[in-house]
Amino acid sequence: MSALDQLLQGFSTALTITNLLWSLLGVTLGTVIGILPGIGPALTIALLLPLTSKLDPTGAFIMFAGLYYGAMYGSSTTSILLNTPGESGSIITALEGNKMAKRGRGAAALATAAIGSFVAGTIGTVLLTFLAPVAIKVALKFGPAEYFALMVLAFVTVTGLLGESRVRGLISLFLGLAIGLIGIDTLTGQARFAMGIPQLLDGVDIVVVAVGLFAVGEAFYIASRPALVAATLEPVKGSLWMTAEDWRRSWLPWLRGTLLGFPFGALPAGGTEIPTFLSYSLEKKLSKRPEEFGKGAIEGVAGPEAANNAAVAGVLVPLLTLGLPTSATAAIMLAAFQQYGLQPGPLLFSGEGKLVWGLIASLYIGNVMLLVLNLPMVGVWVRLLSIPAPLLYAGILLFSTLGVYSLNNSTFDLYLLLILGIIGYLMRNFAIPVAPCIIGLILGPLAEQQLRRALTISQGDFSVFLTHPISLAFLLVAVAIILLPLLMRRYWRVIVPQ
Amino acid sequence: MFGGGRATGEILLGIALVVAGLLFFWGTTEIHVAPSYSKVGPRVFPFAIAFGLVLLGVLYLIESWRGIQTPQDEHPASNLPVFIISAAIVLDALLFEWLGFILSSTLLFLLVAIGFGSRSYARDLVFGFALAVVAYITFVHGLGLSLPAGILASWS
Repeated sequence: MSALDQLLQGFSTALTITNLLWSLLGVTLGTVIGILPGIGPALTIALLLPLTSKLDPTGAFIMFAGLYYGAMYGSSTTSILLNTPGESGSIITALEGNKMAKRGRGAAALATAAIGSFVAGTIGTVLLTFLAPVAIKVALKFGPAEYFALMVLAFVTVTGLLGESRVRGLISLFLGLAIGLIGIDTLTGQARFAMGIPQLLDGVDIVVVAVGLFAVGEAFYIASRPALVAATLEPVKGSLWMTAEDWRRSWLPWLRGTLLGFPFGALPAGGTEIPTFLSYSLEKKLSKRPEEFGKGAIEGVAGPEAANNAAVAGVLVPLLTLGLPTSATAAIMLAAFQQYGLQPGPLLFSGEGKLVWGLIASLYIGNVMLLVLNLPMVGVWVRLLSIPAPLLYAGILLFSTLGVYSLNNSTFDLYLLLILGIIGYLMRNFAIPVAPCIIGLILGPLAEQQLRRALTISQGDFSVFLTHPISLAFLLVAVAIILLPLLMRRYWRVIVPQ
Repeated sequence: MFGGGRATGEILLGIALVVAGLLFFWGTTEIHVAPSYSKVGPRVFPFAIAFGLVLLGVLYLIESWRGIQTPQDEHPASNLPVFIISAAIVLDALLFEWLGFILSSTLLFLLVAIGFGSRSYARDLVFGFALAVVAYITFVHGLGLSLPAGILASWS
């Protein structure tokens, strides 16, 4: 069956009333949490995991994916009107978008962000539709050695490309890997690092880690810096209908942003931030009016906003076809698959085709819903930004304790939540990124399994990773990335605007 | 750039990583391996991670010593809110099952809001209580989750 036939079948799944409602719930929640500072898609999906364990997985994943897309739409609103990015993928949007809002062009900035997100999200979903079956064919050739090498490559890229100090990225990754070791070894049944505490035998749940690092750590960080609590909200000024001039200046940045964003999400190259930086500097170079950049150039909103939405669609390719998460949100979605006893990869496409294609079809529908939610209705959501910070963060912590307690109905997890919150606060203080830790935590145990399987097949011979050509290629790329730090640093100085 | 509190913090972080790595080494030697188990056992991967932690701690200390600093934070930090919110979570964990979800969450909400500098105690109490009640009804009666009713059990 061709991808198109399968997509049509997917639409028959996604267009049922129940699944349309799940999609609507997902995109609405996504818009809300994207707009609200302090709460993002990874944290929200983590909190929803214990609550959705009894739901039909198709509906749950349609909701999660809608939420991930929606958060990217919503966060641009916060960047533009509040100059505080709702998510890391919208940092760049704040540069030009907030300047536009200050000059009374807030509505045009919101419009180019929302329409650009729609264009990029739709093109990205089309690419996902046709690339996924190809990626599946490649994935079928992978054995344990190839999977292990691919995970090593993912570890290197999620830490090596993020931020300016790779040591800090690696510290985060190893913290996640170390936490992932705690609990019973799945292959031999031996307890590891449980310190005699029975609650630790099942391991530290990724929900506790994600909620601790993202929600509690973030709350500590904001609360300890009163200057961050107060920010000025720009009112939405101007017409939401972009002028002919705005359209003319936006459409090429949208397309270029999409082409940059998708591969960065799809390759294990570390999420949605980097393509937005690249898109911004590209638009600045190509612009006939570079002097407008920094003062509210519409291209500087259109390009990066398209890039981050296309990256989200890209992230779904390795997640669904290989079970390889390349962002923190994808890592939590992988945990969701595990919760339902599903294994992303070729088997998911053959065994759960209804779920996967229903999910992909729902993304097309979700994008249309999001355009409606984020353009004509933007005024409704903007009111969310007037919630006082004490109430907002108190509410976030209330739901955090609720979600974490419901994992095992145990208050032990609440103490664990506090410990991880303090670790998250320290990480923020030392500028250590959180995403590699979450990815390490979920991928670490899988990498260990593949490593030991590969070595069992080869009877303990480590050369198996070098004699398999695909595995060798992954490892060579990983080594190349490690060995080019100076070049990367120079590269970063060029692409990261001051 | 040396001599400030941040440099001390960086040294402490580096040392903490080395110590954590060594603890993981020790923990790895404690993992029981059946003598007949000839395959790659449960110790190999943990050893690699323990080694990585020690190495990263040393690298971090070197970076810090060579003056590659963490970016300076332009906002002055105060630790009092961190203590207040930590206390709020500990109290919540202690009282969760006895007071029940609704009352302990109302208290958590109030204390976190105070940690964020709020002085509108009555408003925070009302909002916290209302949110806790709505959450309780939605998740317990709507989604079938079990949350402790606590001392309000006879009412719900």
